Amino acid sequence: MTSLPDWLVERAALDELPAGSRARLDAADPRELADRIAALRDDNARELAAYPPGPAVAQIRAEAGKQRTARSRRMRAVVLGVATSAAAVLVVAHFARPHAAPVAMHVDDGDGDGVRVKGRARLTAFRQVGDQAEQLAPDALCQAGDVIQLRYNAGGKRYGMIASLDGAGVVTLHYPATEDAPPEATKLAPQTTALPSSYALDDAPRFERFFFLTANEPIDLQQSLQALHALAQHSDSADAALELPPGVRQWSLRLRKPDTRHEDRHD
Amino acid sequence: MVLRRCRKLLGDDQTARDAMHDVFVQVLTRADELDDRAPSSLLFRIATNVCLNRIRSRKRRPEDGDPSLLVEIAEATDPAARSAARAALDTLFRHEPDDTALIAILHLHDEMTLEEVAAEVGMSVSGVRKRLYKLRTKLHSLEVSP
Repeated sequence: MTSLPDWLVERAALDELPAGSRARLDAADPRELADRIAALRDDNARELAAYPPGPAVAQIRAEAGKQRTARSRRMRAVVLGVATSAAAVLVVAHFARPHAAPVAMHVDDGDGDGVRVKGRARLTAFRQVGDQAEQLAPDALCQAGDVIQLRYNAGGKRYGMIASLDGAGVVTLHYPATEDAPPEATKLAPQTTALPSSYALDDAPRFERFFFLTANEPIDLQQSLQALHALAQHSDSADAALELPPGVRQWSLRLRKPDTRHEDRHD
Repeated sequence: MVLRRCRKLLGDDQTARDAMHDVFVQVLTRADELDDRAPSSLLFRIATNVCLNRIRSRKRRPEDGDPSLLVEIAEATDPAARSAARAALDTLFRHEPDDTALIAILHLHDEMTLEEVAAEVGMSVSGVRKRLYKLRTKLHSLEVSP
C-alpha cells in the first residue's frame, strides 16, 4: 500500500482521475482514500459555511470583465505577431513540397537490409528567421531558442521514428508523439511531410543531432530509444552510429551549438 | 480544491484566498481558450501557476520570506545540495521557460510520475524528462560553481 498525494485524492473525490493514474489509486489503502475524501468534503462544507460564495463570485465577475476589456485592446497588437508566425508556417509548407531541393545529409546505412529502394529517406531541418524559413545544412551553427521545423521524406520506407540527441546527452522523441506509442504508430506518410510541431532548441552545448530511423516493418520505439540512450553515454555521440536491429536504417543531421556549459559558469 | 492548493503552495491563508480569486478571474477571462474537459486538472494547473507567480514576486520582495516550496524542490532534487539551493534557486529558474517550474513542482513536490506530468502540461514524456534533467544538471553545476 502506498500513500496518495493530495492532488490524486482531490481528483478521485471529483471523479476526474486521469486514466494513467488509475493504478496508483488501486495500489492505495482504500480506507485511507475514503477517509481523506471524507475529510476533503468536510473541509469544503466548512469553507462554504464560513465564506458563502455569492460576494466572491460577484467580485470575480467584475474583475474578469475589466480584464477582458483591457485584453481586447491589446489583441490588435498581438494579431500582428500571429500573422508573422503564420507567414513563417506558410514558408515552411512551401519548402515541404516534394520537389524541393534535399539537404545534404550525414548518412549512415548501418546494417540495413541491403536492399536500396528508389530515393533516400531523409530529414530536412528549417530554422524560423523572422517570417522566413531557412533550410539548415549539416553542421549549421544554431543557438538556444532557435525554432526548428523538421520534415521527412520516407524514401519508400513505410515506418520510421525521429528523435534527437543533444550535447547534454538528452534524448527527445519527435515522431511519433509519445514513447509509449505502439510500433504501428511509427507509420510514415508516403509523401514529404513536415512534423506537426516545431522544436525550440535549448542551451544544451556543442550539438543537436536529429536521427531518422526507417524500416519496412513497424519500429520498436523502446528498443530504438534505448539505442539512443546508449549512444548518449559515449564520448563520440556527436558522430557515432546507433546500434540498431537488422532492417532499421538510420540517418542523422547534426547541428552545431555553442558550448553553453562554459558560458553558464559565468552567469 | 483551489483554495487548498493555494494554501499548500503559499502557506498563508489570506494570500491563498487572494490567489484563489486570481485563479477564477483567469478562468473567466480566458474561458474561450481553455479546455474544460478535465476541470479539476485545469484549475489545479492554473492555481499552481498563479501561486508560482506570487512566489516569484515574493522573491523580488525579500521581506515576505523564503519561497519554502522551491527550497523543498531543490532539496528533493539532491539532498546534498541543500545548503547551496537557496542561493541558487533564483539563478536556477532565471532563464527557464515558465512551465519548467511548474513541471518541477508537479514531479518533485506533487509526486506525479513523468507520464502524469506530461499529461498535465500537454508535453511529451521525453520533453518533461529533458526539462527535469536540464534542471538537475543546472542545479548541480550551480552547486559546484564558486
